Amino acid sequence: MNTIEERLRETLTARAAIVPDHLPPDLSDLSLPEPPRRGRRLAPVAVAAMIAALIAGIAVVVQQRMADPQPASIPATPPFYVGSVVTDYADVSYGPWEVYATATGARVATTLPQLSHARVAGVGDGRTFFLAGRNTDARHKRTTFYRITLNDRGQASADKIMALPSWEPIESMAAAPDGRSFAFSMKSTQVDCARACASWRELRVWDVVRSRASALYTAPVDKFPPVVGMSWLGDGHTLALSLYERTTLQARALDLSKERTGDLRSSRVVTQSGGSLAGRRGAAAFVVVTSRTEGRTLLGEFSAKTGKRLRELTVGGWFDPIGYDAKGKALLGATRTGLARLDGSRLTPIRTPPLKAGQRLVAAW
Amino acid sequence: MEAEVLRPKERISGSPATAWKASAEVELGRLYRDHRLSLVRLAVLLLGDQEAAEDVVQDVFARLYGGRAPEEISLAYVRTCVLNGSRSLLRRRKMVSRSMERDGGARAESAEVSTLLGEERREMLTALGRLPRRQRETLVLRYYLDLSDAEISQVMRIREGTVRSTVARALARLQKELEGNA
Repeated sequence: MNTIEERLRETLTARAAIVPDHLPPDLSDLSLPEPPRRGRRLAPVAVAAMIAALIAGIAVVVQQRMADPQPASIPATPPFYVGSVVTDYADVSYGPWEVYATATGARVATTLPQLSHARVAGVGDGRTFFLAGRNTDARHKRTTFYRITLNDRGQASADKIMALPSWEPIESMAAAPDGRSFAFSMKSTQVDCARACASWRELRVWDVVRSRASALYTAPVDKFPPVVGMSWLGDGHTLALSLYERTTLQARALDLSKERTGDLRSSRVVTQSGGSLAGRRGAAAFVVVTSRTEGRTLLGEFSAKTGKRLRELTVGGWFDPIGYDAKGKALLGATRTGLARLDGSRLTPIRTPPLKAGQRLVAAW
Repeated sequence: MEAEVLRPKERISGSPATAWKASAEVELGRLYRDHRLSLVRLAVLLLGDQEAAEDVVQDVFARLYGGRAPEEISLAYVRTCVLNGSRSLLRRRKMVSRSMERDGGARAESAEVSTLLGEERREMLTALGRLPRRQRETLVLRYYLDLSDAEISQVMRIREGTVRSTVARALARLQKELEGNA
């Protein structure tokens, strides 16, 4: 690369970086059915509505706090979670990563590897996690994977598992229930190309014990749709994937004991819904959001083997499943204001660090 | 001559409307959460000021969310929309400026931004601003977003060969502009 290209790249990056990471959240969350901004004449009405909603929201929060001043007792929920506060409702974190106590939301004084553009996946026991993201050494750019193990007090030990040769973005990640493997999808771009560059997407499984990977699927991005959600199911050998293919989200099931290579799109379609997935413990079943309407979230639990819908759950609010609790009955997930536990249709908030408007917590158990 | 405004592909009918809408909204939400900041930054590089950039990106998402979402909602598609929105705004500025006899291109950087950038970068941005629109856009997509020829071709809806030749011409012209300033 010659000087002018380097200067241009550096200048553009510097100019863009002046735009702060914390943009004002002036557009309502797109997951909520609110009307788009139509013009300046509607601005006073919108402001009045926002103020009214804010007052109503404060009243509801005050009422809830008065009714239940103590944190909810959550015995079956794993004791700790790993999380990172992100702004602008992003789902990829630029760090820092912290360990939090599930019961109190308090940050545990321990140190985790600090990575950018990072993803985290938990085994589900609240003690074992996989964390992957870009290191902070600009001279030796690596996407690095760590296994995080927490002791009874939440103190972390981090084992570096492996590193990719550059800053390949990890799009999704899932941990095997036994903690011996994890799966991830990544996008890589051939950078040293003279004329034409190509982007590839891969799905890999990494065996932590044997320290080796199997590339299940590798294909150009136009033949390998983005994986927007991934969960390793409780039977130990089925990977549920949420693929965004052309116009639709699809939840698919991949039998890792049989499928080793091939076309990902030939895997079994379980349902025409997608997004975040949560695999049930001990079973080849998972929960996925089937629709969001009028402030409600509808979840469906599906059998990965038969595609049969096993049950439906309706949540009065925004909810994104992350995983099941230790007993495999309640769902743990993210809400617009933090984290929550879903028993049947009852949503119990899980304590988090204080979050400002536009922030959310990316977390895993 | 001004090139045609990019027109993202029309929506293809055939899939069930509700499922289509739900999946489009989920995808839009994901794109918004993951990419709003980078889209605003892209628009800033095309327009020169953050306020306008935020407006353009907001309008794009609002229009897509308002029921006119295309069959293929993707990051490339939203980037195309942001490019279109930025072009429209620049065109409007030009029309207004003609009547007021002012320069109607990308706005000059504010004093605060200029100070933060420093002299060399300011020169580079000024030279970039003098390039024809397509060349400027191609360079921003290549050197800010690190898009490949194929990806730029997808966003700008031009052929890959055109991308390559435009980048080469743009770099040569940028070099001349900078030498002219020296």
